[in-house]
Amino acid sequence: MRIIGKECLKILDLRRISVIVIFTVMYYLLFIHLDTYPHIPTLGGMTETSYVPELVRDVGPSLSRDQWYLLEEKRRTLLAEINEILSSHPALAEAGIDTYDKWKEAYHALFLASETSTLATHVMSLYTQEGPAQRCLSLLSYIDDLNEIYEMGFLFSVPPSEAASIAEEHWSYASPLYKKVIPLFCQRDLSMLPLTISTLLWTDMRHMIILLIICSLILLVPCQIQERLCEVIPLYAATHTGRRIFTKQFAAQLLSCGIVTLVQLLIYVGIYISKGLAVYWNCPAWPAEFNTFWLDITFGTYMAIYLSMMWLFVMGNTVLAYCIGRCSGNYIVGIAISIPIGGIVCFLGRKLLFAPFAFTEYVRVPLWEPLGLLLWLALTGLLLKTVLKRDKRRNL
Amino acid sequence: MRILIKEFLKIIKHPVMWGLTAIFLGYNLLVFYEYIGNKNAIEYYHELHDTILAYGINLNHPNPDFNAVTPIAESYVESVERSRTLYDNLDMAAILEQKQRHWNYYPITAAYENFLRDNYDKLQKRLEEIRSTDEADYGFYPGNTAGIHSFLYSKTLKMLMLEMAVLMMLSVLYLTDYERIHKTQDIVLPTRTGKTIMCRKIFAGICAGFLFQTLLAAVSFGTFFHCVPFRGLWKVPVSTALAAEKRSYGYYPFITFRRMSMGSYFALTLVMLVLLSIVIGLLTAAVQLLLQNSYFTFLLKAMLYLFLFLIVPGNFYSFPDILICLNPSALWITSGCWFIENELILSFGGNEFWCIGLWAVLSTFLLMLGKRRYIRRELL
Repeated sequence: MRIIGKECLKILDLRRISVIVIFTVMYYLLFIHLDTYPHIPTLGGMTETSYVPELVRDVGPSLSRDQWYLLEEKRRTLLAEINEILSSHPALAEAGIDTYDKWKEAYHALFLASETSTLATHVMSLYTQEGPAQRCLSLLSYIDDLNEIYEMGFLFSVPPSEAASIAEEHWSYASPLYKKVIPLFCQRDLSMLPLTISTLLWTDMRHMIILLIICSLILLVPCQIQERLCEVIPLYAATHTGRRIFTKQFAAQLLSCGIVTLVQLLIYVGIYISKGLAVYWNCPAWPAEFNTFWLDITFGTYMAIYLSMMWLFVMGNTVLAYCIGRCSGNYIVGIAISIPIGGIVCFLGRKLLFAPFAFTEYVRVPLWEPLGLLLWLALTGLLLKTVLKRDKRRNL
Repeated sequence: MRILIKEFLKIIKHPVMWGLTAIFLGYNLLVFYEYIGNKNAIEYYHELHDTILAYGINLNHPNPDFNAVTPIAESYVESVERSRTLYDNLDMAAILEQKQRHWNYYPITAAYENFLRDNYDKLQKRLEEIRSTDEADYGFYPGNTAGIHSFLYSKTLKMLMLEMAVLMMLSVLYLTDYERIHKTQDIVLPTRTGKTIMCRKIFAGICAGFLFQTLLAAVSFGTFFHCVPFRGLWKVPVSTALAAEKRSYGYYPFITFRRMSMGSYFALTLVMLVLLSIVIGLLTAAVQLLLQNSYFTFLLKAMLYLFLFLIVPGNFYSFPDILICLNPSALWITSGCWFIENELILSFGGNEFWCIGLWAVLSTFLLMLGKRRYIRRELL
């Protein structure tokens, strides 16, 4: 235990940690969308989504058909508010735009015509500028979208008797697996989780996995190279206790990388909470627009599982970092080997961990992400066992 | 000379750099295969190339015997007709205003505003020059359908620049940190030759880096030109209307600062790559001499380029923005539009060479500092 502790202190070198911190900050500024939420031009509809937490607090994290009246009551309240704002707006009242429906018509007409008249500016500014009008209009627009889903009739709260025929009626082109499970999923309630929030998480995690892999390589690759350059490996290998140190060194690397990765993931969660997005944690894990999701869990639980999977994936990468360090004669060789291997691992990570447990019409293997992760851990575990066993027996 | 050759051979004989070059090359070829290298794409581009030559390079004097019988030929003729009007209503002052609106970039000082306007006035004169000659009326792969310029100079060049930077940095670092890693510093440093060996190492490292970069670039570009033939098109001006591509702020042709053919543009791009590589090599050597640790030198340099990428475009809305944008990372961002009117702040001719010059001076200064520190250090 003492050796593991000392090795951890060696690995968590101040210079390397400083590099990781600075790199993480710059990476967040460049690629992670969460820190600029809700102003994310590349993910549309974010401004609208920023008001949805109010809806979640008022109507609840999910809605069944029987509870739809709650949404309709909220809509009536918002309509009354926006009609009052519109009728008290001098320019709009003069143009006869004093109700939500008239505003919507005018907005669409002016938007399509790309008009820049004074009236157009007044109409657009109600939606584009922050304020009570933007809040009402965004929420009404969002509720209207939910009403369209309600009108479709086959996406949520479908009675069990009708569920069986849903797949053939609407998804005849889908994979057999999809057609088999859709009757189960369409009976679920509508989640109040906007698709844009799920997309934000998935997009950020795609970038996050690259950050975590790079940081783990920065932290771990030089450790074994340093041991080699200090010429202590022959000393270790000369005794029985010394040969066992390789296992302890790996354990220390695993522990150190685990701590650093955990801290980075917790920082993301901290920013998530500070942005007020924790309100969605009680919503079902599937977004409002589709409910094809394997697990019937809350979004909070889903995020916890998702981040745990990311953490486990990075732990698998620790083995590769250890092997790169053991095989490299110097830092340059270590960097040169890390670049392509890191690239491949990042590619695998992005494929495996993008939107886990959500599936489209073409998926054929149920819950393939945890299976893929288990396979990754098994392969890296096997590699580790081979390397450590070799270390016990090799003749230096 | 002997030491130089031995240092050069030291890195050439090491398999890891060859392996890395091969991996980068493999990745590039994979990307090429996906976009232009598969069987259908090669057939398409070869047929389009034949169509361009058959129609006639000078669009004002098309081949009277040309018949648009194939879909590709018909599409090409449509692109030619559509491109004829691209220069008609083009006004550089209007483009300046459009860009300022698009990026919300309004100078806070009158001098800076005048500077930007002067740049666009010069571009307007260049535009008049293009209109008065037949520079706009040459055949090429249609920009709105084939997008060859952006694929070659934006996508491919961006990949190559990163890969070449890595190869150069690793080559220089391998040699300059060799003595420290192999613990031969106490043998090398006490002698006068040993104290000056770093200069030879840096030079050998840069030469070795060039070797790997040349191999990478030669095969990559060679593959590109095999898939997308440029035979007969090297003398086509870059400002030809047909080459115009949609950009985030508008759809209009590439307005080069001077008349440039595809061949001279490509040659200038190669010159830029060589100069940039030298700057990267010198800067790497300088940081290594200061830090005496190849691992942290590499990390620091990578973070420096990331930082320079982040600070573009500066947002001072004044002259400091120009200084901020004159950096290697900004060159990477604008790789698709070197020597062309593109970015608002660097809209003056020769900005790429100003960038190289500035960073060469900075690298040389740091190198001298590092060399002085290296010569004076004592081994304990």
